[in-house]
Amino acid sequence: MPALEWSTQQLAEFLVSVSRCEDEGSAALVAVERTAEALDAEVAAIVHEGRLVTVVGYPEGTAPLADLVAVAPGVTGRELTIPGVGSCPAVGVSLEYPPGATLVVARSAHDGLSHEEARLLRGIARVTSMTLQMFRVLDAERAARQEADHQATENARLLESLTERQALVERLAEEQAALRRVATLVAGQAAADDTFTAVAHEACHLLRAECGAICRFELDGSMTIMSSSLAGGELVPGGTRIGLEEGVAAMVQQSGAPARVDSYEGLTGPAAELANRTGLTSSVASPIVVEGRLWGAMVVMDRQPLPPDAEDRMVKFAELIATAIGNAESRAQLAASRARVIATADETRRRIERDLHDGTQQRLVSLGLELRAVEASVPPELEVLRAQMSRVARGLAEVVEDLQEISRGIHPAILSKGGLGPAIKMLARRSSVPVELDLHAEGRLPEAIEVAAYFFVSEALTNVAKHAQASVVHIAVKADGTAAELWVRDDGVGGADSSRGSGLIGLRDRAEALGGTMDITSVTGAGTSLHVHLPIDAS
Amino acid sequence: MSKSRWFAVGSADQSAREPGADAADEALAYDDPKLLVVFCPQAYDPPVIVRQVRHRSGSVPLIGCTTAGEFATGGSDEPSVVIAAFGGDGFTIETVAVPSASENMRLAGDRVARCLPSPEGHPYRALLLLTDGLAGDQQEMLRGAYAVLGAGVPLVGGCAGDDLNMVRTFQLHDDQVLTDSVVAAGIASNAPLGIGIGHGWRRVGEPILVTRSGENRVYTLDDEPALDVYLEHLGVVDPLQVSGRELTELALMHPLGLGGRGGNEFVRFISGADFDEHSLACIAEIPQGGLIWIMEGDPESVLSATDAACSDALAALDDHVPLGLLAFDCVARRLVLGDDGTRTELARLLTCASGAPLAGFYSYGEIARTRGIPGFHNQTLVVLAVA
Repeated sequence: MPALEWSTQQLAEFLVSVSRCEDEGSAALVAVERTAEALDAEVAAIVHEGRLVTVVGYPEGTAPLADLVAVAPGVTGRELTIPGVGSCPAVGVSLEYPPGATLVVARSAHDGLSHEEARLLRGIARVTSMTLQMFRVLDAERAARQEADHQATENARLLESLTERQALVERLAEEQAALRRVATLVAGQAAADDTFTAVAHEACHLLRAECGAICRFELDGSMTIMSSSLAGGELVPGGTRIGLEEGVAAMVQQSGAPARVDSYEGLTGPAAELANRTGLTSSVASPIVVEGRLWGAMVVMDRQPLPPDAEDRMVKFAELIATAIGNAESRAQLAASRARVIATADETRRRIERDLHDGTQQRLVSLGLELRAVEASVPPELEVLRAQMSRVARGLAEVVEDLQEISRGIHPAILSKGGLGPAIKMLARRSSVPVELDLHAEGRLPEAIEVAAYFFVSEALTNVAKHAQASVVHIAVKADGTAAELWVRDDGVGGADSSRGSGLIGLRDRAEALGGTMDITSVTGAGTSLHVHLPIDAS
Repeated sequence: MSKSRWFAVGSADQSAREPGADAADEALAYDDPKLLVVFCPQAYDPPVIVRQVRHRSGSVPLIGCTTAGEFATGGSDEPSVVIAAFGGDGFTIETVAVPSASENMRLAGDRVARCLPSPEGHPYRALLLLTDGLAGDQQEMLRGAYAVLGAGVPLVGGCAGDDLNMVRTFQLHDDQVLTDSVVAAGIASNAPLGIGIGHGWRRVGEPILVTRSGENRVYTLDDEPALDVYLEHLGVVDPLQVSGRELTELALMHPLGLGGRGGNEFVRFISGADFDEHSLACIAEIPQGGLIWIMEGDPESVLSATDAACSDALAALDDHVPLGLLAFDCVARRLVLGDDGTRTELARLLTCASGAPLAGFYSYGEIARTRGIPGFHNQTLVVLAVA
């Protein structure tokens, strides 16, 4: 084979060999090995800055660094002593990379490198330089890429963490807002039913559940679904009573602790039947404990498994419900107590009035009649006596009238006898300020309502007479089976203050004791308007 | 009988009740044996032979392998257990076995090289290797050994055979029978060890460019399927008509030659082919991008190579008289020579030995590194002369 062809083939094989390496270190080793093989040399090495990069041909760990470094490019006549082989001519060629490095070759044949071999060695040096440089660049790139990948991973992790935290913050904010809305309802003493509905709705929304319900445990072992929320409607009508057998509410009732059921398969009873029928088979319930007593449970249900922290998140809602229920019960007890106090007072007044009417008043009237009879029998000559007796009789009549007046103030007998309409008409007749009446109150109302309404009108007319400087008072009364409402409006000077004067305060107390309200509007110069709403308890 | 250094050979064929024991008895001719090198026919049940030998030799270090034929001083006609023994205080020998060599051929070479004893008092050293030529790139294994030992220690040996089945070969180490392994003996001697190499093949036709190769496999030559190109160069028109056995016979007669410095060639044996992907399997690397030639030989050229190998081995003894010869002869050369030629070759080897004992086997690859790094050969005769 011609020398040129041979060296070209050797260079091609060398190129293929080093290009198959995976890193700079193995490329350097393969380069020196294949250099030695191509040139039939015993030793090949790369030295760089007084350091041995790689070497073959010496027993492991015995390469003479100084001797190898001394084989500089362009220096001729160097020899290396190879153990077991002897002294061998050595040549060095520069590598472009690493800058300043030398590729050293030594072989035992003493014929020296031919022209083609020298050319091949230079070609090998160039390929080696390019290969090592390429690996260095690739290593740098790889390192940069790894760093970038690492950074990207870290960023993704941070972003994920941030997103998670953001989601948590949003969830907490949402939860707080929902709790605040419910708490506002509770603090505003909203009706318990409204609170139940609101809580069921909010809990569903928060837990992304389809259905929420507030259940009350009954003494007979059943439960009443006070309120339920299902896709904008109700699961069952409020007040539905079902048996409390197997299910998540039953578990709460038995344990007093939060409970979870992820499948109603194999469970029996109305709750399980309801869950299986609707497909809402994943449910979580939290106990509602009112003043130390297990009142009921708050339940959420969905087709998919509910979040693992659902129990924890429901606790605060259950506490708010308990507060609302506690408040409502306290309010009801207070109102009943006040109503009992007023009823007792009214009864007492009615008894006093009856005693006055039937006793003292009748006695006085009898005395007056007797006195008139005695007066008539007085001889004319005793004119002075008759005049005195007549004066006493008139005085006695005035006492009776005064007593009647006092008696009406204590409890108007006409109210007991004729009802609210006649009593108000009487008040209107007796008013010093002209009254316009608008009465729509047929039949008798509960006594407490009639008494309260009467005293409202009486007190209002007294105030108008005393303070309003009004020319007319308009009184409207409307009553049906559910409530009685009164409006008293004058055209006087206005400026009344409901917080001053025991009269209005007493009236407000009486209204609230009956579960009603009293509003007063009194703008200076625009008269005073009083509105009273008194609910009639059907029971 | 006590001798300061000795080399003896024993052999026994199937006619013996225990050929392993008989061959060992003959080889263990003197006191202080240091190493037994056992060549065993695949058909003889290697574990049985090892037990027979070890029963006689006890704890004497043993390396060996199965073969594609054995030869000894007494001849080569019948399959025989052939054992060479090194003995006397002129030798210091250590042995090693590295199993699962194909997992990392370079590391296998690195590990076997470390069994070489220190040169103190025994300045002449060589590493004798017996390997599984069907497993991995043997030249890469030799690079691993060279990296540890350097240029000063010759490497010599051969690849085990399996009677041309090309399926599985065994390596022997002490009581073990291994496959996919390298077994080695690090020999330090106070007298020279000479190595000679010859193959007798010549190039035919034009060079062919290796356009795709890797993992000891050649996929394309001149950008065409390698098997088709190879067979075409040998005049086979339809590659599909060639059986595996026929290909093996063709490959034995027509190895591939790699160009070396100054016209030196390394011969590469084609160990098989993949008839689906039309690729060629070799037992050493065929470098991609390199040029190869298809080679041929004849009895005369092969025999002249035998002479050259013998004389080179003896010349390396620096006028010492040889104690004996170990020969690693490619099985392909035997096919080229035929029975008569084989006998002629054996006679020439014995002549070279000048009456000293001879042991050898027909191998699937030969190892001889005396200068430079390359040391793996195919279809070559390697002779180790022990002085």
